[in-house]
Amino acid sequence: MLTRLRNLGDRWLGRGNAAITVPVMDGALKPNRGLDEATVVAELAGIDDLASDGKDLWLSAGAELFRLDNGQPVPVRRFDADISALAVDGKGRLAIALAGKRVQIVHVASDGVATDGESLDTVQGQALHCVNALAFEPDGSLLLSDGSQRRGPGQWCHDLMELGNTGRVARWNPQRDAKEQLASGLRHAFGVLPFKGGALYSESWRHSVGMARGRLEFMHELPGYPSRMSAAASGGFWLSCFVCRTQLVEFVLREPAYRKRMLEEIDPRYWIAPALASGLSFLEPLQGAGVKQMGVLKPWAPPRSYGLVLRVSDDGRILSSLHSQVDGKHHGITAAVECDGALWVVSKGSGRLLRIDLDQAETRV
Amino acid sequence: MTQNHHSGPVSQDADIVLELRQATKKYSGVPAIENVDFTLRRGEIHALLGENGAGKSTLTKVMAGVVPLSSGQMLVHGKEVQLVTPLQALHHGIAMVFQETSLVPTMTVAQNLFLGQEKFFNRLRGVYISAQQFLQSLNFDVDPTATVSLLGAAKKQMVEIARAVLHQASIIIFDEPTASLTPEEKKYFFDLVFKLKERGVSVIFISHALEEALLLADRITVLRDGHHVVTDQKSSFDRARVVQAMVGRDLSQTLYGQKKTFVRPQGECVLSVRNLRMASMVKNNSLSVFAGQITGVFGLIGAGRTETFKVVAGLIKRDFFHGGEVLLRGKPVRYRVARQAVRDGIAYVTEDRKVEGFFETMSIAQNIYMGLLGKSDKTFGTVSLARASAVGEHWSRLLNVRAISRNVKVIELSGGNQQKVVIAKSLVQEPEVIIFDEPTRGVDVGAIAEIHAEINRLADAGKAVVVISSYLPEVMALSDRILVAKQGKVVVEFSATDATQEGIMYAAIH
Repeated sequence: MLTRLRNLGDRWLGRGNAAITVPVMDGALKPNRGLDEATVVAELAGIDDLASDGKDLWLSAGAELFRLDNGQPVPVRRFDADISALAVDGKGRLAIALAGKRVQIVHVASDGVATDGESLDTVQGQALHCVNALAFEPDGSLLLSDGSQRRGPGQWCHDLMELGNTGRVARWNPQRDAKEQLASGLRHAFGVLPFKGGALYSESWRHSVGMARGRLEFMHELPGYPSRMSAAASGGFWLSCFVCRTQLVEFVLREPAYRKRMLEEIDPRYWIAPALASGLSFLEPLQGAGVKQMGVLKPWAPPRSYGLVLRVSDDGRILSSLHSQVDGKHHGITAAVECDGALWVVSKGSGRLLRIDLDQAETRV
Repeated sequence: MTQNHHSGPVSQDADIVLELRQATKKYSGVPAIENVDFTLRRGEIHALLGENGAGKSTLTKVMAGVVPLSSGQMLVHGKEVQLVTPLQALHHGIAMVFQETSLVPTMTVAQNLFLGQEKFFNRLRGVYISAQQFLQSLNFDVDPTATVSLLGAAKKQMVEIARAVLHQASIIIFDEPTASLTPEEKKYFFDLVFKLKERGVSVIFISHALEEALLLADRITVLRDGHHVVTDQKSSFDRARVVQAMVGRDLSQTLYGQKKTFVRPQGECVLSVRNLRMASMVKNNSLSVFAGQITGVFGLIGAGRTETFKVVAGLIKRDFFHGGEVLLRGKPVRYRVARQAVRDGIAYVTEDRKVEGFFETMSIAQNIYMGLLGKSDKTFGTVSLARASAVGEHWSRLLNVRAISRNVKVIELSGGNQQKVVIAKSLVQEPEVIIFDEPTRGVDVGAIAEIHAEINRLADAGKAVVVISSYLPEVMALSDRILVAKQGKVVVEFSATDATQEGIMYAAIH
């Protein structure tokens, strides 16, 4: 009763949970043009995820698996469904999530011949629905994040607008076929990483990164919606944020009746919701300062889409960041991995694979 | 290098209505302006620009008779005058409109206009009619029967201007007239200034907004550190030249030394301010403060810096509705009184030490001990004079507070030592976040160095330090990151290694 009254008061006064504020991007999060100035290696429609074992870089675009050869993506194999996540263990094994519903192990021989191995489609009796990130652990087990039990990987925005909280993180040992659910009831799990003997996961709609055991919060109040993570050679990890928070979206997320009607009546392309790319149509909603003046969009305008990669230390501090601001072109970052002295970044919004020298990427503040 | 421009033989120029020659004004021996030459022509709009502390206000106060000159000459219409009161200045046709208007808020507009000029048998209706006619002659849309307290800032300015014109002022000085005006009100004001010019009135105005100076003025004078830098026609100025003239200090000759090449690594985000709103002063302000770093906050007066951090420290309250959030170590906090903030480890060292910083009739030790009592969570407790003495002794030694004896009253100390006592009063609370608001204002050079050393020591010890300063070299010398505030919010962040004086000033005024 008291909580209800407090919530009502907060809503009226615009305080507490109803404050509708977003974290400021300053300090190590100070905007730069790091992503916009990155080298564009390739343009691939539907490019989504990256995986590296330190030697080779693998990438997925739609249903196709690619390997980077002489700096250019070379098709390796086409699957019967879109690849929604990718991982490689450095011992000739690839893990590939297909349409979010099945995880397939693929053995790649030294001569490049690929053969299918074990597969997984349920954990704890529940079918996989939205597997969006995979990561091998040192013992050969596979960590996976299943973003939602209701919406598939392509419908993340629906899941956000419905305040989805059916995500989970699981561990699967393909050799022993041992499955373990590490955390459930997550608000869109989207990213896993073996870390200090445990598992880190990112929870997009809570803007946080947590440890699976005990669900301890490792990073919180991020300015964007976190997605996949990858280990950094010099300690810590890289975290991509596929969209950024804005006050307008935070406000919409507090208005259930409005959201319900919007979901029912409006074309999803024009929802007041974040997007992987924007500026494609004049029908898109804009927030306050986002209005174009003389055809120029201010870089600091509230973003509908944004590009953000964070370099995070072992203790959860943000050390540096790479940005593509509102007026930039490399938005919707879904993956960032180190390989061969460079940071490789997928901008799903623009359908591009980007390359940044590791030294530059590390020091960009 | 500075340069002086004079437009012809000033004393012979019949158009010159006001002239200052080698004007010097010293406060307690410290020059606020030194050897300043200035001329004002009939029907001229003359902008006076400079950083905070450049001597603009002192110069205009000298002209308006608020303070007398220490040395030098002042000529009005070619005759030398010595003005010691504003009334004398008014008799010479000089009126000053202060930023904070000097109207009586409980009186009507008409009563304010004729205040001091009332006839023996005064009819209120007659006063209103006269005021109405006079305001209409100036094209001022102000109701003479309205109570002044109910008027907006622009209308108050109009009444103030009308009063100046009514007193037959031929020279009107405006001190930051647009600081509290909305864009629409500013347009009003600009129209008024042009109308005054048409009537042959000479106008001097102080402004931090370069656009206004470049739009309104016929001539621009820039002061820096109490010295005249340049006077020239508006057409020969652009923004870059004005900024260069305002900040073009030779760093090697100042206390603040060379450009910073090392920046402390960023620690945990201790304090986060999000979308903070406080009346018209703080507008959707957001910023973060990190442990182990000095966060410098620069901005012109009225940029909302002090108000933001006073909200953080619980000294003033944010807007009741949708006032934004303050997060301390990730947890939202809202302090009703400053004591709660002190207990949470936030210390605010005030910019106005005489009013808010210390108890002037108490001793150094007692003042420092008051800081400790402020943190105490006991409702009832005893005051230990022995402990007060020990604490006072310890901190006086640590901060090198120089006094004849420990029992001397704080009011008897120099500005620098007073400031050290105020700092000690906060540091004794062992805060994690320390906010220094203008830490070296009115402090001598030696004490500045010691205070800076203490601020650096705190950051090196891992504390989150905020330094609010209107003095650009100070911000640049101390800060690891510099936030620039303008019109109630932080607009730009610089790393100390990337920051330039011109860049910061441009962000603050553009």
